Amino acid sequence: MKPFKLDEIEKIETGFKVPEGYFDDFSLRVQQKIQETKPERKRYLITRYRKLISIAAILIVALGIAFVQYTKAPVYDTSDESVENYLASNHCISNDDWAMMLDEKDLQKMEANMNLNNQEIEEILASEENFENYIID
Amino acid sequence: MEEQVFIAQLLNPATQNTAFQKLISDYQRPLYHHIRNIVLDHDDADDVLQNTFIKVFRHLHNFKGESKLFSWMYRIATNEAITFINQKAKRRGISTDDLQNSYTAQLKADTHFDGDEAQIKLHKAIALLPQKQQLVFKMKYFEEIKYEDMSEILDTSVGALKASYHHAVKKIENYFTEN
Repeated sequence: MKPFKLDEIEKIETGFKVPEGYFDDFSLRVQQKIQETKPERKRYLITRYRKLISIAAILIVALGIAFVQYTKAPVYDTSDESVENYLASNHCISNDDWAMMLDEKDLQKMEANMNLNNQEIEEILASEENFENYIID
Repeated sequence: MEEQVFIAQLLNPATQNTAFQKLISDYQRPLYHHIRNIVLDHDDADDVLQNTFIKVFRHLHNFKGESKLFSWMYRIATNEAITFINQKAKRRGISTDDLQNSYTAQLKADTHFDGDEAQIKLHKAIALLPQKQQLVFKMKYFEEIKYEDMSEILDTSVGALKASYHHAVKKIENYFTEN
């Protein structure tokens, strides 16, 4: 069989037909569709940036809350002088209160291991001018 | 220069409508046949052609004039048509090749097709080619687009296009010889 050669035969057309009058109103249909699809574009833009807008809104709210918390928080003056003044003006702090603020280790440190006999105690009290205060306490 | 004046008219709101009507009038036929050759069905070609002109209208302000208006519009039409058939095949759960083969198999029943046996045979042979070769063959053989213009439209070198066309012709000739 002789090999088929495309350029040796008459050109083969597509055979596709266009419906009669198809192009007559095509321009009008396109213009109408452009008018109809105009609002779609706006919605598309909003949809496209929806994620970005959501993230921005969350960030603004989070930063706003943080700012309000920061500005409302009381400012504490923690200098040594302030602490001393506070303690001096608050006589109602009892020994129990102090004990509450100290842990077991602190309390153990404060327990002095003094094995004194009566003779030694008397000598210490005799050397103190205001020993009566110790006896009262 | 003439094209630049026309593009300026398309971008000017005062002259836009008239210029766009002229654009449609000049390109509707060649673009229809270009799209129809890719999507094969008339109703599909109608949808794609409308979408192509809408896209052209919407993106006119992005047209930089680096290529010819003709090439730019053909590129949009080609992309729209290929995207359309790929999506249609995906919706049906079949490959693009199967979609085209099924269409060419029932070409005789298409009321918008008026071809003989040789024409049906040619469409069947084309449907067996890889997508790029199909495109190059249709643009060269049916539409008689110059390789230089095709190169701009498809962003492919003239050499590669000639090779594609050559391979396509060989495969089609073999199909005709064997069938």
